[in-house]
Amino acid sequence: MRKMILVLLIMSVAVISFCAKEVVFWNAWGGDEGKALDSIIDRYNKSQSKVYVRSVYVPIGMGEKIMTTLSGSTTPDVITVWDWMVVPLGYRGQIVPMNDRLAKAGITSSDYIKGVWEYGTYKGKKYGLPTTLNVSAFMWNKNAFKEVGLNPDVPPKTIKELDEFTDKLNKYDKKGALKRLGFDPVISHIYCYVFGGQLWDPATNEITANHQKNIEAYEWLSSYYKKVDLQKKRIFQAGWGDLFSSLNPFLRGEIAMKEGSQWEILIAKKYGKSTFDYGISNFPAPQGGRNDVCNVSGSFWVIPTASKNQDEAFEFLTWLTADKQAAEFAAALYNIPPKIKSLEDNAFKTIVDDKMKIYIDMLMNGYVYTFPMLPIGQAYLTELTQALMDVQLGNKTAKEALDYVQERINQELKNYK
Amino acid sequence: MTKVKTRRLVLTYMFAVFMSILFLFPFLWMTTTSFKTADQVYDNPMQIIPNPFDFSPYQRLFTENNFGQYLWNTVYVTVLTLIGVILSSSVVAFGFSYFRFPKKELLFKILLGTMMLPAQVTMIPQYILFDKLGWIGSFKPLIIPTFFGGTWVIFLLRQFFDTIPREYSEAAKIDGANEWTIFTKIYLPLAKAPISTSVLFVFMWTWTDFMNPLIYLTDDKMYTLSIALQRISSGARSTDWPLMMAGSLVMALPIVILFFSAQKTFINGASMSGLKG
Amino acid sequence: MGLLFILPWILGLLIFTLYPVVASFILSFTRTGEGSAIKWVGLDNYITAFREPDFFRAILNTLILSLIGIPVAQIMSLVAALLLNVKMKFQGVFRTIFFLPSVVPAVATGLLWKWILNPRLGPINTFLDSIGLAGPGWLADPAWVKPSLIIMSFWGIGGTMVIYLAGLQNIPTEYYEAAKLDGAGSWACLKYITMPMLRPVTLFNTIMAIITSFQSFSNIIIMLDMDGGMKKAGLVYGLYIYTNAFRDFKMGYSSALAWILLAFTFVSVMLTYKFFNRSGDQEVS
Repeated sequence: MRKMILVLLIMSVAVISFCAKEVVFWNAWGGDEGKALDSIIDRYNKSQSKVYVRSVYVPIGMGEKIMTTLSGSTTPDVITVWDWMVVPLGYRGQIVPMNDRLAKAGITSSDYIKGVWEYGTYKGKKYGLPTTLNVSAFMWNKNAFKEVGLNPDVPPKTIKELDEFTDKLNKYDKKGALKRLGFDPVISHIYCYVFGGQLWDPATNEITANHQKNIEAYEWLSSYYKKVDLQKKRIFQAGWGDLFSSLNPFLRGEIAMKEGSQWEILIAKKYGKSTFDYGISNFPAPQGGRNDVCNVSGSFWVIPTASKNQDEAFEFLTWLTADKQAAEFAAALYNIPPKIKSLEDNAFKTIVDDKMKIYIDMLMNGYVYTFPMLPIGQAYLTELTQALMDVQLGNKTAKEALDYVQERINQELKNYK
Repeated sequence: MTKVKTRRLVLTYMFAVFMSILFLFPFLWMTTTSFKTADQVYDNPMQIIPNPFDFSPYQRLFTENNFGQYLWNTVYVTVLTLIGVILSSSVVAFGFSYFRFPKKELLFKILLGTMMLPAQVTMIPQYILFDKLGWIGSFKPLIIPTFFGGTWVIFLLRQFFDTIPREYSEAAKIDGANEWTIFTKIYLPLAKAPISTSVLFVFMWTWTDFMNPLIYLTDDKMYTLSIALQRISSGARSTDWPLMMAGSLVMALPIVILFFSAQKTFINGASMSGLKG
Repeated sequence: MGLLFILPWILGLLIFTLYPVVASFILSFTRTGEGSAIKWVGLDNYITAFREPDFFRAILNTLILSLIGIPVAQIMSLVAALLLNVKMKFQGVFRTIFFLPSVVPAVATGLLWKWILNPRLGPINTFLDSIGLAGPGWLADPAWVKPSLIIMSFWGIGGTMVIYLAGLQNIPTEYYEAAKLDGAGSWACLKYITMPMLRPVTLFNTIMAIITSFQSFSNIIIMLDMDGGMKKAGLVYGLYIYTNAFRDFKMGYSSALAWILLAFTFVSVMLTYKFFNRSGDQEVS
């Protein structure tokens, strides 16, 4: 009898696996994050018998692997790509627009956090679903504030205050080498938005690199670097350790104020000394600027055009991005789920504390933007970075540099009209 | 005379030892790091000798990271590649060196030319080609092309074959040897050093190749060591340094062993002087 | 008969190499349009290249690195090979140590050097600091990026050294014995026997060094960034092709860049051939 049951069991398993369509999924995460995602996927495989999802590790950022595979005839059915890859791949017809399928499945913009739905869309076609969100906010080291006699609980509110605080917080040793950097702006376009500018005009669908407010932001950024000496800063910076370790420069008090993502809360918990105290707030903004800017980035799940199981792949994606799963995966990555209801899910709530709440609040109520997603890959970002360098080195004025970017990227974009 | 010789030998030793320290230093760092725990890596000031020794990185390689499977895959690809490249390339190199035929130098220039086009732009068409052949997801794209000669090896062996005096083969010809015999009985034995060099390099490149396995393999279970190493270094957000270094060393060990045995063929003059009679 | 021997390579060329090469050549005259459309743009990609400041910057950086790096590395590996060809104890061990750096996976090498050259925490500057010298900014200083890269490349001379070692084995010992009987010293032996006999190997090493040096870029991504670091001091040609192809999705343009590189490499290699042949003739006469 027992044998019979066993045989039946084996047969039924065989039949199920025979009938199930295999969906190949590229898991871009190694380590613990990858394992967390795989265990979520396992649950999907056990929950139904129609589709079997096979998860394959393929490192993200491997442009070569993604671009070669997409040009072939056998592709995986779901892949993970960086946000800036979505539109270029969609524009080239290598991944499929999801509009119709999303509409049919009843998934709408109202399920997503305001603004997020539009990401990965070009000329009305939506090419992918965001995995999780990464948000930047202003962070300051309270210990350093105390040390220089600033109120540790009050971050700078205006650019003028930020400048004053920076001057106070910059610290040098006897030889004149930096010991602490007052403020470290890295993502320069955040300050374009903080000053009231923008990189892209959604109304006209044009880039606006040389927006007057962007120029002002660039002028301010370069004035800031003139104060600390770029060369000194580079050498100081080279001594900073891995962000994900106890050598993290913010945790070690080597940077007093900076942009920081929500996962740095985890890093501070894990590696920060017990005396280490820091705050998170909106970015300080000048008069007429925006004091609630919130920069968002992340990765996307997309379906290749050459996939032979697009329907099954989409069905799996709807499950994977459903509120509960989105919450679980975001918690594993210490990111924020892109969907409103996931924020309330217990799986995500386990990582929500007072600090995480500030990020969520910024995301829900702030001026949320992401870097414009254009078919030209990262050319726009590269040019903007280069322009800032030129201004800092005194090769060009902010206006000249940004005018050049505007003209150049428009020239590039003409090839894609 | 002997004094000069001794002094020179002492100088040579001193130089060799000095350089060895410079060359070994980073390697030493890798080795000690591989025996540390994740926290010990960030000790400040840095501890040269780990205290306590942690062997778990090596253990973790084979338990959590499936290094055994990847090791076997890498051995499989490497051995077949070696056979393919060395067999075909030595024949082709002999063809280019020994014979005179029309357009030979033009063909050789084309051979050199094929190395000058960077892989970044031939990668996608190459992939499409293998896709049309239905080879994607198998070891075929990694192995089969190697049986048609490796440019680098052909070039290297030709340079060596060119230096073999004609008299040797002329003499053999008079004794009634055909071209194949001349190749196997004269050229190959004389080229021991360059052939072992080729084996070493082909082994090294195939063993550590990352891009080709990454592009053509589609199944986790078929991945090679270099992809496994990449997973360790880029997987989680923080690099697991001890694991990474342990992996690098495990990966490097077979090459070091191979090198140590290959260099024994580099004993001056042995190859050619023996044939003089 | 000769053709029969080289047949495997010719077949391989026709089956595996010809299509990708021709395809990339055709691609270099095109641009990808919307959907999977491919637009013919004639010489546009080539003309664009010659208008790009980065194109010239990349060529210049590559040339500087190659013109200094290649000769010095060749001389160093030759000297190392000559020394380690001397009969001595632990010869195999020393040879192995010199070769060791070449077997370290590229990712590990890159990260390792990042630490070694770290201007604040790295062992070099820590040492310089302890004897009262101010170390340079290395990779953090645009003026020091190229010297840093060249120094790094010396660590990998083991590979070239091995080929020189193999070359030294092909020199019949009788030559040296005969020269010694004629009263020639070590220097004369080196100049009149070793160097001329090594010429084919030297030629091989130099040509391969040119080809690889013109294309290399992966270490720069690990050490600096996709832009080649501050002031783009490390933007080499291979990196420029790579970023255009896989970051900016401009396959047509990067194919054109690759074909310009091919022409450039070909000329350099042919000049090297000429140089070696001429210097050879002189020594014979």
